[in-house]
Amino acid sequence: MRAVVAVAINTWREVVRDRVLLLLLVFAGVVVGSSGLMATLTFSEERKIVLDVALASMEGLGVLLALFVGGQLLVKEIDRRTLYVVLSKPVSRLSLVWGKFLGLVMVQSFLVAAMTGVLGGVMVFTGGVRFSVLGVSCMLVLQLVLLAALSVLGSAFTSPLVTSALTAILYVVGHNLETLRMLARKMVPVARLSVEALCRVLPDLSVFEVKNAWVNGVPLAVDGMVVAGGYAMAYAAMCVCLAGWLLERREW
Amino acid sequence: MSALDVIISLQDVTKVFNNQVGQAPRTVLEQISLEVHRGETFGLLGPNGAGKTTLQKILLGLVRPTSGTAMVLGTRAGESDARARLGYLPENPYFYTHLTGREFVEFCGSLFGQGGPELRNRVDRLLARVGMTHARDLQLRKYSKGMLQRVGVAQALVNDPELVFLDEPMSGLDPVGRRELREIILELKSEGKTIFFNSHILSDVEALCERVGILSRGKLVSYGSVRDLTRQGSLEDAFVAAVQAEASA
Repeated sequence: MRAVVAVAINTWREVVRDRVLLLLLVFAGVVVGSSGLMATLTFSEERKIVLDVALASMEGLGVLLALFVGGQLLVKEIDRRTLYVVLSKPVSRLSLVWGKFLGLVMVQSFLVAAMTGVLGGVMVFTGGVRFSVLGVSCMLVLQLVLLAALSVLGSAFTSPLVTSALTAILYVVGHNLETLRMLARKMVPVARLSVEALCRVLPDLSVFEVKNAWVNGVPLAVDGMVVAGGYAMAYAAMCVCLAGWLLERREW
Repeated sequence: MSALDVIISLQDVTKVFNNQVGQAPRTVLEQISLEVHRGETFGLLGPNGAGKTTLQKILLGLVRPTSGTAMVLGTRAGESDARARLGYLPENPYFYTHLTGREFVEFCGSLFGQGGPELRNRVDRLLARVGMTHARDLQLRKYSKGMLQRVGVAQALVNDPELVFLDEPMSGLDPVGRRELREIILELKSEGKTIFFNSHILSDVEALCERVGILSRGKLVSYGSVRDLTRQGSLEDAFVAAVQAEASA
Protein backbone atom coordinates (compact mmCIF):
# COMPACT_ATOMS: atom_id res chain seq x y z
CA MET A 1 0.00 0.00 0.00
CA ARG A 2 2.85 2.35 0.85
CA ALA A 3 4.31 1.79 -2.62
CA VAL A 4 0.95 2.65 -4.23
CA VAL A 5 0.82 5.92 -2.25
CA ALA A 6 4.45 6.70 -3.17
CA VAL A 7 3.78 6.17 -6.89
CA ALA A 8 0.56 8.22 -6.66
CA ILE A 9 2.38 11.15 -5.02
CA ASN A 10 5.15 10.89 -7.61
CA THR A 11 2.56 10.99 -10.41
CA TRP A 12 0.95 14.05 -8.83
CA ARG A 13 4.33 15.78 -8.67
CA GLU A 14 5.08 14.81 -12.26
CA VAL A 15 1.87 16.34 -13.62
CA VAL A 16 2.09 19.45 -11.46
CA ARG A 17 5.75 20.10 -12.26
CA ASP A 18 5.24 19.49 -15.96
CA ARG A 19 3.05 22.59 -15.73
CA VAL A 20 0.18 20.79 -17.45
CA LEU A 21 -2.03 21.35 -14.44
CA LEU A 22 -1.01 25.00 -14.14
CA LEU A 23 -1.90 25.56 -17.78
CA LEU A 24 -5.26 23.84 -17.34
CA LEU A 25 -5.97 25.76 -14.13
CA VAL A 26 -5.27 29.11 -15.79
CA PHE A 27 -7.42 28.12 -18.75
CA ALA A 28 -10.19 26.85 -16.47
CA GLY A 29 -10.08 30.04 -14.40
CA VAL A 30 -10.41 32.17 -17.53
CA VAL A 31 -13.21 30.08 -19.05
CA VAL A 32 -15.27 29.59 -15.89
CA GLY A 33 -14.64 33.16 -14.77
CA SER A 34 -15.64 34.60 -18.13
CA SER A 35 -18.89 32.63 -18.18
CA GLY A 36 -20.29 35.50 -16.11
CA LEU A 37 -19.25 37.89 -18.85
CA MET A 38 -20.92 35.73 -21.52
CA ALA A 39 -24.14 35.80 -19.57
CA THR A 40 -24.25 39.61 -19.67
CA LEU A 41 -24.47 39.38 -23.46
CA THR A 42 -27.82 37.61 -23.29
CA PHE A 43 -31.20 39.12 -22.54
CA SER A 44 -32.63 36.37 -20.36
CA GLU A 45 -31.68 33.41 -18.16
CA GLU A 46 -28.33 34.96 -17.30
CA ARG A 47 -27.67 32.60 -14.40
CA LYS A 48 -28.57 29.47 -16.36
CA ILE A 49 -26.07 30.36 -19.08
CA VAL A 50 -23.35 31.04 -16.51
CA LEU A 51 -23.85 27.59 -14.99
CA ASP A 52 -24.18 25.84 -18.37
CA VAL A 53 -20.97 27.30 -19.76
CA ALA A 54 -19.00 26.86 -16.54
CA LEU A 55 -20.01 23.23 -15.95
CA ALA A 56 -19.44 22.27 -19.59
CA SER A 57 -15.97 23.86 -19.41
CA MET A 58 -15.17 21.95 -16.22
CA GLU A 59 -16.16 18.68 -17.84
CA GLY A 60 -14.28 19.45 -21.06
CA LEU A 61 -11.04 20.29 -19.27
CA GLY A 62 -11.28 17.27 -17.01
CA VAL A 63 -11.81 15.04 -20.03
CA LEU A 64 -8.81 16.63 -21.81
CA LEU A 65 -6.67 15.89 -18.76
CA ALA A 66 -7.79 12.25 -18.74
CA LEU A 67 -7.17 11.90 -22.49
CA PHE A 68 -3.77 13.48 -22.79
CA VAL A 69 -2.16 12.98 -19.40
CA GLY A 70 -3.78 9.64 -18.58
CA GLY A 71 -2.87 8.15 -21.94
CA GLN A 72 0.81 8.91 -21.40
CA LEU A 73 1.30 7.85 -17.80
CA LEU A 74 2.43 4.26 -18.29
CA VAL A 75 3.94 4.82 -21.72
CA LYS A 76 6.25 7.50 -20.30
CA GLU A 77 7.42 5.07 -17.62
CA ILE A 78 8.21 2.50 -20.31
CA ASP A 79 9.78 4.92 -22.83
CA ARG A 80 11.94 6.65 -20.25
CA ARG A 81 12.70 3.29 -18.64
CA THR A 82 11.97 4.72 -15.19
CA LEU A 83 9.90 1.62 -14.53
CA TYR A 84 13.14 -0.39 -14.29
CA VAL A 85 13.91 1.50 -11.09
CA VAL A 86 10.42 0.98 -9.68
CA LEU A 87 9.94 -2.67 -10.68
CA SER A 88 13.38 -3.72 -9.45
CA LYS A 89 12.07 -2.84 -5.98
CA PRO A 90 9.42 -4.88 -4.14
CA VAL A 91 6.60 -3.26 -6.12
CA SER A 92 4.19 -5.31 -8.20
CA ARG A 93 3.16 -4.14 -11.64
CA LEU A 94 -0.42 -3.92 -10.38
CA SER A 95 0.71 -1.58 -7.56
CA LEU A 96 2.48 0.59 -10.13
CA VAL A 97 -0.72 0.84 -12.20
CA TRP A 98 -2.85 1.62 -9.13
CA GLY A 99 -0.35 4.30 -8.09
CA LYS A 100 -0.37 5.95 -11.51
CA PHE A 101 -4.19 5.83 -11.63
CA LEU A 102 -4.65 7.27 -8.13
CA GLY A 103 -2.11 10.01 -8.89
CA LEU A 104 -4.16 11.01 -11.93
CA VAL A 105 -7.37 10.92 -9.88
CA MET A 106 -5.71 13.25 -7.32
CA VAL A 107 -4.87 15.70 -10.11
CA GLN A 108 -8.38 15.53 -11.58
CA SER A 109 -10.01 16.01 -8.18
CA PHE A 110 -7.81 19.02 -7.51
CA LEU A 111 -8.66 20.51 -10.91
CA VAL A 112 -12.40 20.05 -10.39
CA ALA A 113 -12.21 21.42 -6.82
CA ALA A 114 -10.35 24.52 -8.04
CA MET A 115 -12.80 25.08 -10.89
CA THR A 116 -15.75 24.62 -8.50
CA GLY A 117 -14.19 27.30 -6.30
CA VAL A 118 -14.02 29.70 -9.25
CA LEU A 119 -17.61 28.82 -10.22
CA GLY A 120 -18.71 29.46 -6.63
CA GLY A 121 -17.16 32.93 -6.88
CA VAL A 122 -19.00 33.60 -10.14
CA MET A 123 -22.29 32.38 -8.59
CA VAL A 124 -21.93 34.87 -5.73
CA PHE A 125 -22.21 37.69 -8.29
CA THR A 126 -25.03 36.09 -10.28
CA GLY A 127 -27.72 35.35 -7.76
CA GLY A 128 -26.06 33.46 -4.89
CA VAL A 129 -24.34 30.14 -4.32
CA ARG A 130 -26.26 26.83 -4.56
CA PHE A 131 -24.24 24.48 -2.43
CA SER A 132 -25.61 21.49 -4.31
CA VAL A 133 -23.06 22.44 -6.98
CA LEU A 134 -20.69 20.32 -4.87
CA GLY A 135 -22.81 17.27 -5.74
CA VAL A 136 -22.57 18.11 -9.44
CA SER A 137 -18.78 18.41 -9.05
CA CYS A 138 -18.66 15.03 -7.27
CA MET A 139 -20.51 13.42 -10.19
CA LEU A 140 -18.02 15.03 -12.58
CA VAL A 141 -15.10 13.64 -10.54
CA LEU A 142 -16.67 10.16 -10.65
CA GLN A 143 -16.98 10.36 -14.41
CA LEU A 144 -13.35 11.51 -14.68
CA VAL A 145 -12.25 8.64 -12.40
CA LEU A 146 -13.78 6.22 -14.88
CA LEU A 147 -12.18 7.98 -17.85
CA ALA A 148 -8.80 7.98 -16.08
CA ALA A 149 -9.10 4.22 -15.59
CA LEU A 150 -9.93 3.75 -19.28
CA SER A 151 -6.89 5.86 -20.22
CA VAL A 152 -4.62 3.88 -17.91
CA LEU A 153 -5.97 0.64 -19.36
CA GLY A 154 -5.32 1.86 -22.90
CA SER A 155 -1.80 2.98 -22.04
CA ALA A 156 -1.00 -0.54 -20.81
CA PHE A 157 -1.22 -1.96 -24.32
CA THR A 158 -1.11 0.79 -26.92
CA SER A 159 0.37 4.18 -27.82
CA PRO A 160 -0.70 7.49 -26.22
CA LEU A 161 -2.34 8.66 -29.46
CA VAL A 162 -4.44 5.51 -29.84
CA THR A 163 -5.27 5.58 -26.11
CA SER A 164 -6.47 9.18 -26.34
CA ALA A 165 -8.53 8.40 -29.45
CA LEU A 166 -10.08 5.27 -27.87
CA THR A 167 -10.90 7.09 -24.64
CA ALA A 168 -12.45 9.98 -26.59
CA ILE A 169 -14.60 7.52 -28.58
CA LEU A 170 -15.67 5.75 -25.38
CA TYR A 171 -16.54 9.13 -23.84
CA VAL A 172 -18.83 10.00 -26.74
CA VAL A 173 -20.33 6.50 -27.01
CA GLY A 174 -20.66 6.21 -23.23
CA HIS A 175 -22.92 9.26 -23.20
CA ASN A 176 -25.06 7.90 -26.03
CA LEU A 177 -25.62 4.25 -25.17
CA GLU A 178 -29.39 4.75 -25.18
CA THR A 179 -29.24 6.04 -28.75
CA LEU A 180 -27.10 3.03 -29.68
CA ARG A 181 -29.67 0.69 -28.12
CA MET A 182 -32.46 2.39 -30.06
CA LEU A 183 -30.53 1.94 -33.30
CA ALA A 184 -29.91 -1.70 -32.41
CA ARG A 185 -33.64 -2.36 -32.23
CA LYS A 186 -33.86 -1.61 -35.96
CA MET A 187 -31.03 -4.01 -36.85
CA VAL A 188 -31.11 -7.68 -37.90
CA PRO A 189 -31.10 -10.08 -34.90
CA VAL A 190 -27.38 -10.97 -34.95
CA ALA A 191 -26.29 -7.34 -35.18
CA ARG A 192 -28.88 -6.32 -32.56
CA LEU A 193 -27.64 -8.91 -30.08
CA SER A 194 -24.01 -7.91 -30.71
CA VAL A 195 -24.71 -4.21 -30.16
CA GLU A 196 -26.78 -4.94 -27.06
CA ALA A 197 -23.96 -7.08 -25.65
CA LEU A 198 -21.50 -4.30 -26.43
CA CYS A 199 -23.73 -1.80 -24.65
CA ARG A 200 -23.54 -3.93 -21.52
CA VAL A 201 -19.71 -3.88 -21.57
CA LEU A 202 -19.10 -0.26 -22.55
CA PRO A 203 -19.07 2.36 -19.77
CA ASP A 204 -22.44 4.03 -19.32
CA LEU A 205 -21.46 7.64 -18.69
CA SER A 206 -25.06 8.86 -18.75
CA VAL A 207 -25.36 7.83 -15.07
CA PHE A 208 -23.09 10.78 -14.23
CA GLU A 209 -25.05 13.29 -16.30
CA VAL A 210 -26.81 15.48 -13.76
CA LYS A 211 -25.63 18.95 -14.65
CA ASN A 212 -28.30 19.82 -17.24
CA ALA A 213 -31.13 18.85 -14.90
CA TRP A 214 -29.44 20.64 -11.98
CA VAL A 215 -29.02 23.86 -13.99
CA ASN A 216 -32.77 23.70 -14.71
CA GLY A 217 -33.52 23.50 -11.00
CA VAL A 218 -34.02 19.73 -10.58
CA PRO A 219 -32.57 18.64 -7.22
CA LEU A 220 -29.87 15.95 -7.15
CA ALA A 221 -31.02 12.45 -6.22
CA VAL A 222 -28.78 11.06 -3.48
CA ASP A 223 -29.56 7.43 -4.33
CA GLY A 224 -28.60 8.10 -7.95
CA MET A 225 -25.29 9.55 -6.78
CA VAL A 226 -24.60 6.51 -4.61
CA VAL A 227 -25.30 4.15 -7.52
CA ALA A 228 -23.09 6.25 -9.83
CA GLY A 229 -20.32 6.19 -7.21
CA GLY A 230 -20.45 2.42 -6.90
CA TYR A 231 -20.57 2.01 -10.68
CA ALA A 232 -17.55 4.31 -11.22
CA MET A 233 -15.48 2.59 -8.52
CA ALA A 234 -16.30 -0.94 -9.74
CA TYR A 235 -15.70 -0.14 -13.42
CA ALA A 236 -12.48 1.76 -12.68
CA ALA A 237 -11.17 -1.03 -10.43
CA MET A 238 -11.85 -3.55 -13.18
CA CYS A 239 -9.99 -1.44 -15.77
CA VAL A 240 -7.00 -0.86 -13.46
CA CYS A 241 -6.75 -4.56 -12.57
CA LEU A 242 -6.94 -5.47 -16.26
CA ALA A 243 -4.17 -2.94 -17.00
CA GLY A 244 -2.05 -4.53 -14.24
CA TRP A 245 -2.68 -7.98 -15.70
CA LEU A 246 -1.64 -6.78 -19.18
CA LEU A 247 1.48 -5.13 -17.79
CA GLU A 248 2.35 -8.34 -15.94
CA ARG A 249 2.68 -10.05 -19.31
CA ARG A 250 4.92 -7.46 -20.90
CA GLU A 251 8.70 -7.47 -21.09
CA TRP A 252 11.03 -4.62 -21.89
CA MET B 1 30.69 -23.56 -0.23
CA SER B 2 27.26 -24.26 1.30
CA ALA B 3 23.96 -23.77 -0.54
CA LEU B 4 23.21 -20.81 1.74
CA ASP B 5 26.28 -19.02 0.43
CA VAL B 6 25.03 -19.14 -3.15
CA ILE B 7 23.36 -15.77 -3.69
CA ILE B 8 22.71 -16.10 -7.42
CA SER B 9 22.22 -19.35 -9.26
CA LEU B 10 21.46 -19.75 -12.95
CA GLN B 11 20.76 -23.18 -14.41
CA ASP B 12 20.58 -23.51 -18.21
CA VAL B 13 18.90 -20.14 -18.63
CA THR B 14 17.84 -19.38 -22.18
CA LYS B 15 16.02 -16.30 -23.37
CA VAL B 16 14.37 -16.07 -26.77
CA PHE B 17 12.61 -12.88 -27.81
CA ASN B 18 9.73 -13.40 -30.19
CA ASN B 19 9.96 -10.53 -32.63
CA GLN B 20 7.19 -9.08 -34.74
CA VAL B 21 5.19 -11.30 -37.06
CA GLY B 22 7.28 -12.46 -40.00
CA GLN B 23 10.60 -12.11 -38.17
CA ALA B 24 12.49 -15.06 -36.74
CA PRO B 25 12.72 -15.40 -32.93
CA ARG B 26 15.97 -14.02 -31.54
CA THR B 27 17.96 -16.03 -29.01
CA VAL B 28 19.63 -13.55 -26.67
CA LEU B 29 20.88 -15.97 -24.01
CA GLU B 30 21.67 -19.65 -24.48
CA GLN B 31 22.01 -22.24 -21.71
CA ILE B 32 23.65 -19.94 -19.15
CA SER B 33 24.67 -21.60 -15.89
CA LEU B 34 26.63 -19.80 -13.20
CA GLU B 35 26.75 -19.12 -9.47
CA VAL B 36 27.64 -16.04 -7.46
CA HIS B 37 28.58 -16.47 -3.81
CA ARG B 38 27.87 -14.35 -0.77
CA GLY B 39 30.29 -11.46 -0.32
CA GLU B 40 31.97 -11.74 -3.69
CA THR B 41 32.19 -9.19 -6.46
CA PHE B 42 31.27 -10.82 -9.73
CA GLY B 43 31.85 -9.15 -13.09
CA LEU B 44 29.88 -10.03 -16.19
CA LEU B 45 31.87 -9.05 -19.24
CA GLY B 46 30.99 -9.03 -22.88
CA PRO B 47 30.94 -6.96 -26.04
CA ASN B 48 27.93 -4.75 -26.77
CA GLY B 49 24.86 -6.85 -27.51
CA ALA B 50 26.27 -9.96 -25.80
CA GLY B 51 23.20 -10.25 -23.52
CA LYS B 52 24.63 -8.81 -20.27
CA THR B 53 21.74 -6.45 -19.60
CA THR B 54 19.14 -9.11 -20.47
CA LEU B 55 20.78 -11.49 -18.00
CA GLN B 56 20.65 -8.84 -15.30
CA LYS B 57 17.00 -8.10 -16.13
CA ILE B 58 16.21 -11.81 -15.69
CA LEU B 59 17.83 -11.72 -12.26
CA LEU B 60 15.75 -8.66 -11.36
CA GLY B 61 12.50 -10.19 -12.64
CA LEU B 62 12.05 -7.58 -15.38
CA VAL B 63 12.34 -10.29 -18.02
CA ARG B 64 11.35 -13.96 -17.69
CA PRO B 65 13.65 -16.71 -18.91
CA THR B 66 12.27 -18.82 -21.78
CA SER B 67 13.70 -21.91 -20.11
CA GLY B 68 15.99 -22.73 -17.22
CA THR B 69 16.00 -21.60 -13.59
CA ALA B 70 17.18 -18.31 -12.12
CA MET B 71 17.41 -18.06 -8.33
CA VAL B 72 18.33 -14.91 -6.38
CA LEU B 73 18.80 -14.80 -2.59
CA GLY B 74 17.20 -18.21 -2.22
CA THR B 75 14.01 -17.43 -4.15
CA ARG B 76 12.98 -17.43 -7.78
CA ALA B 77 14.37 -14.35 -9.56
CA GLY B 78 11.88 -11.50 -9.49
CA GLU B 79 10.09 -12.59 -6.29
CA SER B 80 9.21 -9.67 -4.04
CA ASP B 81 11.27 -11.14 -1.15
CA ALA B 82 14.40 -11.10 -3.29
CA ARG B 83 13.76 -7.60 -4.64
CA ALA B 84 13.38 -6.28 -1.08
CA ARG B 85 16.96 -7.33 -0.37
CA LEU B 86 18.72 -6.10 -3.49
CA GLY B 87 19.75 -2.78 -5.00
CA TYR B 88 19.96 -1.93 -8.69
CA LEU B 89 21.70 0.78 -10.67
CA PRO B 90 20.43 0.67 -14.28
CA GLU B 91 22.63 1.32 -17.30
CA ASN B 92 22.37 4.99 -18.31
CA PRO B 93 20.47 6.33 -15.33
CA TYR B 94 16.79 6.70 -16.26
CA PHE B 95 15.27 8.63 -13.43
CA TYR B 96 12.35 10.97 -12.81
CA THR B 97 13.72 14.30 -13.97
CA HIS B 98 10.97 16.29 -12.22
CA LEU B 99 12.23 15.18 -8.80
CA THR B 100 15.16 16.60 -6.86
CA GLY B 101 17.99 14.25 -5.89
CA ARG B 102 16.70 14.01 -2.34
CA GLU B 103 13.06 13.47 -3.39
CA PHE B 104 14.12 10.75 -5.81
CA VAL B 105 16.08 8.75 -3.24
CA GLU B 106 13.26 9.26 -0.72
CA PHE B 107 10.78 8.01 -3.32
CA CYS B 108 12.92 4.89 -3.85
CA GLY B 109 13.06 4.37 -0.07
CA SER B 110 9.28 4.63 0.20
CA LEU B 111 8.96 1.83 -2.38
CA PHE B 112 10.60 -0.38 0.26
CA GLY B 113 8.01 0.72 2.81
CA GLN B 114 10.38 3.16 4.51
CA GLY B 115 9.30 6.61 5.65
CA GLY B 116 9.47 9.37 8.23
CA PRO B 117 12.54 11.05 9.72
CA GLU B 118 14.48 7.78 9.62
CA LEU B 119 14.26 7.68 5.83
CA ARG B 120 15.11 11.37 5.50
CA ASN B 121 18.24 10.92 7.67
CA ARG B 122 19.24 7.84 5.71
CA VAL B 123 18.81 9.66 2.40
CA ASP B 124 20.94 12.57 3.63
CA ARG B 125 23.67 10.14 4.73
CA LEU B 126 23.59 8.32 1.37
CA LEU B 127 23.74 11.55 -0.62
CA ALA B 128 26.71 12.64 1.48
CA ARG B 129 28.35 9.27 0.85
CA VAL B 130 28.12 9.70 -2.94
CA GLY B 131 29.15 13.36 -2.71
CA MET B 132 25.80 14.82 -3.76
CA THR B 133 24.81 16.84 -0.69
CA HIS B 134 25.41 20.11 -2.52
CA ALA B 135 22.94 19.20 -5.28
CA ARG B 136 20.31 17.36 -3.26
CA ASP B 137 17.64 20.03 -3.79
CA LEU B 138 18.29 20.42 -7.50
CA GLN B 139 15.93 18.72 -9.99
CA LEU B 140 17.46 15.70 -11.72
CA ARG B 141 16.89 17.32 -15.13
CA LYS B 142 19.73 19.70 -14.19
CA TYR B 143 22.17 16.92 -13.25
CA SER B 144 25.13 15.86 -15.37
CA LYS B 145 25.53 12.18 -16.26
CA GLY B 146 28.10 11.69 -13.50
CA MET B 147 25.77 13.28 -10.95
CA LEU B 148 22.91 11.02 -12.08
CA GLN B 149 25.19 8.01 -11.72
CA ARG B 150 26.02 9.00 -8.14
CA VAL B 151 22.42 9.58 -7.17
CA GLY B 152 21.66 6.25 -8.86
CA VAL B 153 24.15 4.57 -6.54
CA ALA B 154 22.47 6.27 -3.56
CA GLN B 155 19.02 4.93 -4.56
CA ALA B 156 20.50 1.46 -5.09
CA LEU B 157 21.69 1.47 -1.47
CA VAL B 158 18.62 3.01 0.15
CA ASN B 159 17.42 -0.37 1.52
CA ASP B 160 20.88 -1.41 2.73
CA PRO B 161 20.84 -4.33 0.26
CA GLU B 162 22.66 -7.65 0.59
CA LEU B 163 23.13 -7.84 -3.17
CA VAL B 164 23.84 -4.92 -5.49
CA PHE B 165 23.42 -5.03 -9.26
CA LEU B 166 25.37 -2.41 -11.16
CA ASP B 167 24.78 -2.20 -14.91
CA GLU B 168 27.73 -0.46 -16.60
CA PRO B 169 28.32 1.73 -13.53
CA MET B 170 31.41 3.43 -14.94
CA SER B 171 30.02 4.36 -18.35
CA GLY B 172 29.97 8.08 -18.97
CA LEU B 173 32.02 8.94 -15.91
CA ASP B 174 35.19 11.03 -16.04
CA PRO B 175 38.36 9.58 -14.46
CA VAL B 176 37.65 11.26 -11.12
CA GLY B 177 34.07 9.96 -11.10
CA ARG B 178 35.27 6.47 -11.97
CA ARG B 179 37.78 6.48 -9.16
CA GLU B 180 35.15 7.68 -6.67
CA LEU B 181 32.69 5.02 -7.79
CA ARG B 182 35.43 2.38 -7.53
CA GLU B 183 36.00 3.50 -3.95
CA ILE B 184 32.30 3.18 -3.18
CA ILE B 185 32.26 -0.35 -4.63
CA LEU B 186 35.32 -1.25 -2.53
CA GLU B 187 33.54 0.11 0.56
CA LEU B 188 30.50 -2.05 -0.24
CA LYS B 189 32.81 -5.04 -0.61
CA SER B 190 34.37 -4.35 2.76
CA GLU B 191 30.86 -4.27 4.26
CA GLY B 192 30.35 -7.81 2.97
CA LYS B 193 27.85 -7.01 0.25
CA THR B 194 27.62 -9.17 -2.83
CA ILE B 195 28.12 -7.16 -6.02
CA PHE B 196 27.15 -8.25 -9.50
CA PHE B 197 28.19 -5.88 -12.19
CA ASN B 198 28.11 -5.67 -15.94
CA SER B 199 30.91 -3.85 -17.62
CA HIS B 200 33.08 -3.76 -20.66
CA ILE B 201 35.76 -1.68 -18.93
CA LEU B 202 38.21 -4.49 -18.21
CA SER B 203 40.57 -2.54 -15.95
CA ASP B 204 37.74 -1.85 -13.50
CA VAL B 205 36.65 -5.47 -13.53
CA GLU B 206 40.22 -6.65 -12.97
CA ALA B 207 40.65 -4.26 -10.05
CA LEU B 208 37.34 -5.04 -8.34
CA CYS B 209 36.18 -8.58 -9.10
CA GLU B 210 37.15 -11.93 -7.67
CA ARG B 211 35.40 -13.86 -10.41
CA VAL B 212 34.09 -13.06 -13.86
CA GLY B 213 31.94 -14.53 -16.59
CA ILE B 214 32.45 -13.61 -20.22
CA LEU B 215 29.38 -13.51 -22.46
CA SER B 216 29.61 -13.50 -26.22
CA ARG B 217 26.58 -13.62 -28.51
CA GLY B 218 24.43 -14.94 -25.67
CA LYS B 219 26.78 -17.74 -24.60
CA LEU B 220 28.88 -17.92 -21.47
CA VAL B 221 32.24 -18.53 -23.12
CA SER B 222 34.45 -18.21 -20.05
CA TYR B 223 33.76 -18.32 -16.32
CA GLY B 224 36.13 -18.41 -13.38
CA SER B 225 38.36 -16.46 -11.03
CA VAL B 226 40.21 -13.42 -12.29
CA ARG B 227 43.42 -15.04 -11.01
CA ASP B 228 42.90 -18.15 -13.15
CA LEU B 229 41.89 -16.20 -16.24
CA THR B 230 44.90 -13.89 -16.02
CA ARG B 231 47.47 -16.65 -15.46
CA GLN B 232 48.49 -16.61 -19.14
CA GLY B 233 48.28 -12.82 -19.59
CA SER B 234 46.01 -9.84 -18.93
CA LEU B 235 42.23 -10.01 -18.54
CA GLU B 236 42.01 -8.24 -21.89
CA ASP B 237 43.93 -11.10 -23.54
CA ALA B 238 41.64 -13.68 -21.92
CA PHE B 239 38.58 -11.68 -22.95
CA VAL B 240 39.64 -11.26 -26.58
CA ALA B 241 40.67 -14.93 -26.84
CA ALA B 242 37.32 -16.13 -25.44
CA VAL B 243 35.24 -13.86 -27.67
CA GLN B 244 37.24 -14.70 -30.80
CA ALA B 245 37.08 -18.44 -30.09
CA GLU B 246 33.30 -18.22 -29.85
CA ALA B 247 33.07 -16.12 -33.02
CA SER B 248 35.09 -18.64 -35.02
CA ALA B 249 33.21 -21.66 -33.61
